[in-house]
Amino acid sequence: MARQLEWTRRSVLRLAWVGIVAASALTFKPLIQYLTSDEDQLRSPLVFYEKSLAENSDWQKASNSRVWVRQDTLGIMAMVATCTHLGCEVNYHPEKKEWLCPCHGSIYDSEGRPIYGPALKALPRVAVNRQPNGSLIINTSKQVGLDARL
Amino acid sequence: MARSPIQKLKEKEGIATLLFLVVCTALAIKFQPAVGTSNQAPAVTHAVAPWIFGPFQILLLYLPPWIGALIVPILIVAGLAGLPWIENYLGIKWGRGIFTFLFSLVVFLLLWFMVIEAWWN
Amino acid sequence: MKEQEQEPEHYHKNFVNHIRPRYVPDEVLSVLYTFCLGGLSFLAFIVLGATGILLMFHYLPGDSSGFSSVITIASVIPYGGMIRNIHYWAAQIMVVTVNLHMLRVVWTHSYKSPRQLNWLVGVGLLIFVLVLDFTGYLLIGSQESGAAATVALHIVELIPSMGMGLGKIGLGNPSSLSGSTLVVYVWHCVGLPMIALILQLYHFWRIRQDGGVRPL
Repeated sequence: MARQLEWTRRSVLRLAWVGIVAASALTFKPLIQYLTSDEDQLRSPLVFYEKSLAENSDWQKASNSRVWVRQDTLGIMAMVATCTHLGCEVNYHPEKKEWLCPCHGSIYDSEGRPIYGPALKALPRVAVNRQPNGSLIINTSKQVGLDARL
Repeated sequence: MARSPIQKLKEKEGIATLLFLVVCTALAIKFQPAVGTSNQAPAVTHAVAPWIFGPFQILLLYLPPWIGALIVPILIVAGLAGLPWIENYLGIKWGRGIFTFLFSLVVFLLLWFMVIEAWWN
Repeated sequence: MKEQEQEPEHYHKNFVNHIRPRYVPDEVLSVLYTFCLGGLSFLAFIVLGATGILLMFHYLPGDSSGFSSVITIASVIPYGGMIRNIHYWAAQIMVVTVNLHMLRVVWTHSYKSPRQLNWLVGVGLLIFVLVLDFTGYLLIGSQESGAAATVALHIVELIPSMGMGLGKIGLGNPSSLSGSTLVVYVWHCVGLPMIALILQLYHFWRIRQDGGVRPL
């Protein structure tokens, strides 16, 4: 005679317990997706520089961003002032022609190459383009080499 | 072993509580904690970590980030957390030695940080 | 002796007595044994909770609002500066007492069997206190807090494979000029203190489970 499945109090409780654990496990991925979403904080990689840029000028800061632009004899270049060590915003000191990081004291030369401190890589250069109205548009998501110019 | 009602302990705790609140309020009246620099102001040239994270700051200054900020703190925490088991397997002397080493390392880094900051100012 | 041990009338009506022993060894009563360091840490936690809730009435997390609301609390709102100062100093004292408490526990060998589990809970609480202190610093929203948030984010992102996600869950999207984000605010005011409180209550309960505070 086949044993009949008995729904004792214990087995029902155990089933409920397993169900709760399984249901919580299922919420793991949705929770991670919910918590890591940044749909509510859209940040465009595009930065605009609307002032005029003189030839052979020193680094000029684009407002409300970490982007700096400069024009030398070869053309225009753009740099993101983010320390390559741990991401603090570096400041340009025009009198010393150096970039200084406030957090751990890294120093970069005027071209953005590291010369002192824990940073090992050069400050990132990014792509610049000129808009029809003459202002500059900088795409911070597109990195370029040290000698790239517009 | 001689023992006393919990009431005795409560009295001492009451005294300690009052002392703590007085000291805390006195500090709050006397010393205004810094608020730092506004983000509308020009960028600061030197950002100081709060003293509690001074040891971290020193580690980051001289070690690559993945060692200074991940491996070393994980080792310190593992050494602390594993203390009872370390003593079980290696003996009390080792346990004491490792704890003393870890704790004095952190204190040493903290003092180092404070000296650097004092020198900077 | 017999008379002394008789329980007072009100004894059973007090809930706190329920989680504490009726009698304690005389040696434990000596201030020089525990220096009250664990208790003082808990007291600091209570003070931090009370002042923290008060601060929440006027604090606005956010890139630009964080710092200005701290300034407003500190300088304009009646007694706001006082409440903020107490919150700050209680936090500094707590970090010190928690560390000294750990030293005391090692000094008196109180981490040994059968108390290993409580030692682990204690180490966990130490980390929680440090993280709470750090997130509190971020919420000031100053330039320095932005730098600290950026550094912390970069460090968390060093963790292989789940670093990016952890950074976003733990810190949100801090800018380089302000560490005050809604995510940090929620962790500092709700998430971390709640877990820390539960851990602390478990910590206290375990003391009794493991045989109470015993002298050397």
